[in-house]
Formats: sequence, C-alpha cells, structure tokens
Amino acid sequence: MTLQVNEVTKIRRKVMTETARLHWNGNLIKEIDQLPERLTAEHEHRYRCCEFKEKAIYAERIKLAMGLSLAPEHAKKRLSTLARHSLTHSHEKNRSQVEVIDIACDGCPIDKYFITNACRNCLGHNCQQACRRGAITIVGNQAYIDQSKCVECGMCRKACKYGAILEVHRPCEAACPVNAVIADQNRKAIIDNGKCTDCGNCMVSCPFGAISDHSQLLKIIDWLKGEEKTVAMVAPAIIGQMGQKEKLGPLFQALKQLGFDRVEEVSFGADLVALGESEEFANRVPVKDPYMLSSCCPAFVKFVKIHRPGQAEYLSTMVSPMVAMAKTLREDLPLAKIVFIGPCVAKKREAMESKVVDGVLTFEELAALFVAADINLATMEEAQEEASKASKDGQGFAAAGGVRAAMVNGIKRFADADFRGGSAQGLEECLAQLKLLEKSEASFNFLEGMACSGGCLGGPGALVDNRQTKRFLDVRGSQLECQNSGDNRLAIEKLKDLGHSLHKSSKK
Amino acid sequence: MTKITVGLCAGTSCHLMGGMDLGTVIEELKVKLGDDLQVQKHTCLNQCRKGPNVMLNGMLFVGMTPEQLKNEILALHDREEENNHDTTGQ
Ligand code: FES
Repeated sequence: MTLQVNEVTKIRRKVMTETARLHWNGNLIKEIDQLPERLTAEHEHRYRCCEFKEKAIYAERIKLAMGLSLAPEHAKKRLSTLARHSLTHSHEKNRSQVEVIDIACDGCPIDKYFITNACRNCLGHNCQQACRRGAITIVGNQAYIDQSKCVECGMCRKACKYGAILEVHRPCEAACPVNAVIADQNRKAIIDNGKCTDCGNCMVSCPFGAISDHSQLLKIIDWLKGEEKTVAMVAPAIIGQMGQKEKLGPLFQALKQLGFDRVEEVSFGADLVALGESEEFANRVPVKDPYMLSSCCPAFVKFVKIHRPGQAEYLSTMVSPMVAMAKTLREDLPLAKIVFIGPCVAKKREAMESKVVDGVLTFEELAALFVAADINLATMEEAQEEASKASKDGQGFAAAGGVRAAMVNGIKRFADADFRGGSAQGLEECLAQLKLLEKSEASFNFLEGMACSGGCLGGPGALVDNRQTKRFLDVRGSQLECQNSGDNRLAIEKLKDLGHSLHKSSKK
Repeated sequence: MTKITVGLCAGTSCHLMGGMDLGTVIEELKVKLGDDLQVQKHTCLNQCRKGPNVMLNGMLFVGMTPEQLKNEILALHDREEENNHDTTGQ
C-alpha cells in the first residue's frame, strides 16, 4: 500500500502539533479550551454535518493527543480540566492503546453482500440457487438479499455470472488481522481489547480518521523542559523519515535542540539481540525445541500469546532491541528519562511493561513536536553525524527479513548449528507460517514475525512510504563501518556484561 | 524554450503535512518534461501553517495536494508551449 498523506492524516497531525505547541509555549491550560474552535475555523473544508459536531470531534482528538482515554468520565469535562489532570497524573495502566472516536465513526454499512443494478434478473437465478439460507428473492426486476437471513457466506457472489453482487468491508474490520474490530448495535466500531495486538493497522485504514492511539507528547515535553536528564533512542526505521534521505546528522542535531541530552541508535540494541538470539537458538534448536520464534516485534509477540498460546513457549526469551538498548543506558543513567522514538504503536505498551523505557513517540509525533518547537531540519542539512556504534545487520532489523538476515550472520559463530530462517510480514502471513511450524511442515526452523507489512518501516507511525525508506536504509547500511553483528566488538563486550538481564525470564 | 521552475518546501512542517507526496509528483513530471522543468528546494516559505507549500514560477501555492500540483504544472507547461508557438509563428 502506498503511503499518502490524506486529509484525515493532516487533521490528526495538525491536532498533535497545535496541542504540543500550546504546551511547549506554556499556554496549554490557558488556551486549550479554544483550540477546537480555532482548528475548525482554520480548516476551510467542512467534513461533518455541522460546526458543532466538527468541534466535538476536534475535542476528542485533542484528548487523545493529550494522552487521555475517551472514557465516559472524561466526556463532559472541559479540556483545560482534563489537561490539568493529564499533567499531574500518570496514565491509566491497563487500558487499550488504540481507541475509536465514537462520534467520528461513520458507522459504515455492515451488510456485507448486496446486489447492485448490474443484476440482469436473468433466467438462471444462480444466486438464488447458491444461497443455502433462502435469503435471496426476486423483487421487481432484481434479486434482493434479505439481510436477516444472510449469513455472509459469499456463495451468491461467486455464483453470479455478471459479478453483480458486491462485497463490502468496513475498512477497519478488513485491516484488523485478528478480528478485534467489531460493530456495536449502532454499527459503530468498537475494539475488543482481549483480541487486539496493538498493531495499529486499523488506525491508518479508517477513511474518517476515527481510530487513533494515545500520545505521550505532554509528559515528554515536561521532561524535556525539566531538570532530569533525557535520552532519545531512535529506532533504525527512522532513516529517511524526516526528509533528509539517509543522513542522520540533521535529526541528531534537531533532537539535541529539542532538549534531549543524549541521542542513541536502537540499532546497537538490535546487534545485542542478534548476538544473543543466535546463541539462544544454537542452545535450544533442535535439541530442546523444534523451532524458535523472534521476539522483537511486540505486536507479533502479543499475537502469539493471545491467538497461538500453544506456540508461545517457542518465542525467543530475548528482550527487544528497544529494551536491550535501554538496559545498556540504564547502567550509567539510572534516573534519566529514556524515550523511544519509532514507527510503532505496540511499543507504547511494551515500553510501559518493560519498566526501563519511560516514554514512546512515533515518528509522526516527533515531527509534530519539532514543528511545535519551531525546529526545521531542512536548515540543518550540513550537520555531521558521529560514527555509528551499530552494524548494518543491527540497522537491518527495520525492514522485513532483516532479523533473519542478522541471524544468518550471527549463527556463523556456532559451527554445527542447523539454522534455516523464515520470515513473515503482516499478521496474516505470520499466522500461515505459524501453522506450518505447528504441523511440522515448514522448511524453516526459525521464524521472524513482523506484524506490519514491510517490517517496522511500514509501521503505522511512519511518515514516508516504506519503499522509499528501504532504499535509504540500504544506502546507509552499506556506508557503515561494521557490517555484521558478529564483528561488532562493542556489542559482544556489552552482551558479556549484561548477559542474563537481556532475557525475559530472568529476574534481574 | 519552455521553462518552469518549481520549488518544493522541504521544511519539517511541510514535510509533516505531506510534502513528500508533492516531491513524488515533481519527480514524475521531471521525467516527462525534462529540461523544461527546473527543480529547486526551499527550507521554509514562511507559511508553515498552510502547508504543504510550493513555489511555481515565483508564485507561492499553499496547501497543495499532489493532483493540484500536477495539474498546475501541466497547465502552465501547455500555456507556455502555446505562447512559444505564437511568437515563433510570427
Ligand atoms: S516549512 Fe514549508 S512553509 Fe515553513
């Protein structure tokens, strides 16, 4: 899918930017109540029936941008009251990461099949015969589906020689690989938190922009303006996201200008994971286990745990590159606020549960924050970057197939290991490959599972199409001094130091 | 010779609002129009709130969509071509 910035994306970004700008300038409480009005006036196009509804939707979006849930107890309160609450309270723990903005949801039609005017009222009536529920009758000059009888099997559509029967999907439902988006009695979308993997696919699919996640912008602005030391850890997928092709110099300078005391690449954490995970593989497969699953994508991990519980024991026990990197930093910075910056929505929950990463921003939220703080990376083209501590393998984790590639190199340290790597992108593909593994029909004994198509580069928080960013990633990768994790001396040393603390089962 | 100068704003604000999509259109048209299209880059055009923005033959266009930009450039190109014909015909 090509990534294009459509109108709803612009609105979401505008709301983020303006909310962040108010707080950056210290005017949040004073001016937030007027923001819905201002945004409605600034935006010439009117999408909704009336200005009143438009403002109400802006208010809901602002709440999400402030990190608040859309719970009913927040419904009637003023934005300034809520803002005060958001600034002084830590956010509710076990809530959903992704939420539907009820009033923005159009309640798209949920009749899955319906017969169009292309129906010729033919003599065959194949549709009628194909329907085992007797749901199709001929009314006037056309076939008609009695929706109360229809079980959505789709046989009629296959039977019609004219292709006159249309299959309609709600975009959010179609985008959800685990059927966690369902319709309530009013046909509005709701998210089943018991099934949701936080992948964020539905957010980018809704043409009404009615699904969004909670942002941590406000608390991160507080940290940047406060006394504590702050560290930005950027995911390898950041290459090319801000418009400077493969160069990271401008980005690093901009992050420092924003107030981060230190900027680090998570690619180095990925090197640690590649080394640790290949060692783990050599120890586990095939002696103890028939196969192993990667553990760096939090949505894939959650998917396996919820939807394939029988296979969860085969997940690697390594922490993700994000957590590994945070653990290396924690040694000298016990009190610093560590912020992960990536393309991922699911990382927000993973970070919260990890207890070593304090906050998460998506690339979209970071760009909004730059704009809010009047920081323009286009003026920093000349900024030089320091030599990277990571290898090309580590950086490659950003793209689908990258973890497998790094494992192939990492496993070379274990001469007699029998490693056959497979990879899957998108949870549908992951599911198909997991089933093969379960039935012992797979040709591979290691599976890299990525919830997003394209890998992290295709994540819901990305700003640039992953076909473009993949090119930039490859260019920068070829320029790196160290190509394989196995040659990364610093990473090998760190792994020795941290050893067990990088495995999830360990208590440390 | 027909010359159109297009200057995309590469500032972070315009980038966030979809400047890259305009860049893709410009790249496509560059292939089609060749030397007739001169491509420049601006760091900021001082209308950040209205982005994504672009300069076309010295004129500022704000809040452009890829389709709008494509149409503007092609229309401009057609007009210039016609003018050229008129002058050379005389
Ligand atoms: S960033 Fe484009 S006008 Fe300022």
